Amino acid sequence: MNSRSLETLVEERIASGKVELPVFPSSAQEVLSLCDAEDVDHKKLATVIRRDASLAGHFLSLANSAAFGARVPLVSLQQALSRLGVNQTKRIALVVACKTRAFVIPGHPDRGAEILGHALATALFSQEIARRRRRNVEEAFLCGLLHDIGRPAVLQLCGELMLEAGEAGVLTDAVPSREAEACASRLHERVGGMIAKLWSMPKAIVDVIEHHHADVGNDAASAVVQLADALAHGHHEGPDELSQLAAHPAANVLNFYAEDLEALIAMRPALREQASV
Amino acid sequence: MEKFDFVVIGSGPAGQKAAVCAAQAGTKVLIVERERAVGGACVHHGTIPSKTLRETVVAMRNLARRSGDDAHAPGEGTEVASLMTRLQDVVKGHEDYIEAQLRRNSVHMARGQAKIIGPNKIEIRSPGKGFTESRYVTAEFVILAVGSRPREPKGVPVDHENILDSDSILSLTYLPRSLVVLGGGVVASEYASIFAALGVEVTVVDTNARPMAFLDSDLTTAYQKQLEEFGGTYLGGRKIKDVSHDGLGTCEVRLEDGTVLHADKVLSALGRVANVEGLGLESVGVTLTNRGLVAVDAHCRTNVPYIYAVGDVGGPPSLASSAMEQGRRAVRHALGEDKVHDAKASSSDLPFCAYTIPEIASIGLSEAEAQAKYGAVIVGRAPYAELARAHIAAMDAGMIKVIADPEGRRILGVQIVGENASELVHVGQMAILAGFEVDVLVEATFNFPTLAEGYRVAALDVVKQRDVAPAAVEAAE
Repeated sequence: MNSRSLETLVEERIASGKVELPVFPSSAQEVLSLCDAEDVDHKKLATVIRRDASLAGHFLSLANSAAFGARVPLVSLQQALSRLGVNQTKRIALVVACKTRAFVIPGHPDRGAEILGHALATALFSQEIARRRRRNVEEAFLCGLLHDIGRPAVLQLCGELMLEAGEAGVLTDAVPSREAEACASRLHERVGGMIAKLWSMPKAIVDVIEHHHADVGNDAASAVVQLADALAHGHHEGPDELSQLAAHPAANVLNFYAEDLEALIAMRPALREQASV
Repeated sequence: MEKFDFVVIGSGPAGQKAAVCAAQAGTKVLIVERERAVGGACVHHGTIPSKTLRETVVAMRNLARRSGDDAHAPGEGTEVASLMTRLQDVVKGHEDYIEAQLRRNSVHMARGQAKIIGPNKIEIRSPGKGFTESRYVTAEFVILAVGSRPREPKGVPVDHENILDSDSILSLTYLPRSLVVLGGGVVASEYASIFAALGVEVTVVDTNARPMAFLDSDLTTAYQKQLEEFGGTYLGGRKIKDVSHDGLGTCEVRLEDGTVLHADKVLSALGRVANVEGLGLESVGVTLTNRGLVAVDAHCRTNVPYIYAVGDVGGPPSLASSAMEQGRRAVRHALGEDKVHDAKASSSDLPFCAYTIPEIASIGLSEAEAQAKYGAVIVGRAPYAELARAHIAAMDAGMIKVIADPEGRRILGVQIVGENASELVHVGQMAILAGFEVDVLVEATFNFPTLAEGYRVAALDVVKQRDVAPAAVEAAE
């Protein structure tokens, strides 16, 4: 199956509404709702998280990771919740949802982990870019984390369609096929937008997910993610990276001078380490 | 190398007016702006955005008060973003207006970082892909209008996420439950009252016993009373030891007296510093003050005769209105058109306004300054409670204060606390500029019902005191 016919099949499946999009885990949704309550009940939060073994395990593991600034080991959920506070708890619930649902590609766990790692690195770069431009740091983190959320879903759908077409090898291949990756590259913004809407993400975040490869125009929110994406990928790593990034349209929208870009490049090793959850 | 008569560095209020003034005098002008859009911090981080938010908050409160329906009052659950939906339009409108004005006056514009690299020589470095290619120009006169940025004091690690400054506070998309405001100046007081009015638990910490201590105490008492009615707290006479965020969810503010405050967010509003870095001032020997400001004379001229510094980079009063006037007057001085008027007008000549809730505005001498200069001055007061318009608009707190000389004739100053103070103060300004005596305000007919009518009430109060206490006047003489 070539990439064009695969893409057509995926498009048809999307148009028919028969795409199974990753559902936001109900327990994670409950965590977000409890966090938004006027008086956050830590006991109730702990109960909800404990009820979902997967969420509980991932929650503690992430809470103790460098990405979430752990300084002392957090050994219990109650301790983690009281130390983390509302905002970090919400972020962790979202990362867990990504890790356990959205970034899962049956048969290709490594590729799923790779996409999640890139998403987290992009989220962390987005935060730093937002800080420099005095934009909202939390929103930038979410845009970075979720920008590629449609990619694993498209890869999974491609796998299913190829299997239906009798290409059984898709189950045993070490990595998704080139055709599937090409299809995901073309359609992940659209599918990502669908998932974000399903997850009730704010419109500003949905817009960035749907257009993060489009002409950046004057859209600073998209520019943050586009530049973070480039920095996280590090495609241009090497002596020419500064001039390559300086020529990036997003750098122009963000009005970044050479010293701004140099400072971001210098953060890469630390941010990559933080992103390896 | 292209030659200009004036190169203006910075396009905030000071730079914009300097460039237009120079262009209207028939000179060739280049304005260099570091950011993508003209307007400076005033348009993008300061005056315009904060006043836009304030306007919405006040409108919501007024609606709630006038309708007697608390459902309209902002409070917990209100999203900052929902209050700022007009902001982009407001900022864009202002940007467009400034750019159109510059173009209309044939001011050349360049985007980039300007650096003085030798006598009358300037390098302009662009962002983005052009960063390796510089443009070089010469200027007969250079106007530095590069503005200022929030100061980051030691022990206050601003991260723009949890510990914010006045540039990043409006990037919040939702209201924090609690906010500690560091500082008791104008910017701190404005944001403290806005967030307190929105239902955020605000605690203000400052070394001064009262906020905005340069104002008369009856004005700041009214402000503080309103802050407390909103649920806010002012902790005066306290020194900040340090601030930290636990990396998770809470900010901690430690004071030197051992008090520890906890809050969702902290706003650091502890003054501003001039943007002098990277301008190459050292290459031509421009002197800085020990506070890091560009040292200027009364005409805003530096020790290097062809370089002027206007607006925040030359120091207080850090008002957009005075910055604009400095820009115009510096250019006129450079052109030899005005060697008389000081560009740096004394603070009593300038109208002042704090966009707190309630607003505070003044012109001329304060009561304390007038007493120090003239002795037993006569002060007439018109509480808003005595004005029909204030009743109609449900403006319960406010006062117009007219400060007259000991004879009760000459108007020395006007101070106002209450809604619309920023507009009302100009009536007093015109009276002072015209040299009117207090009696003119008594004899004038004001529209009814208006807040401006308060001038007559205050003036009558002066006359009443003048007439019943001639002995006191004589004693003062």
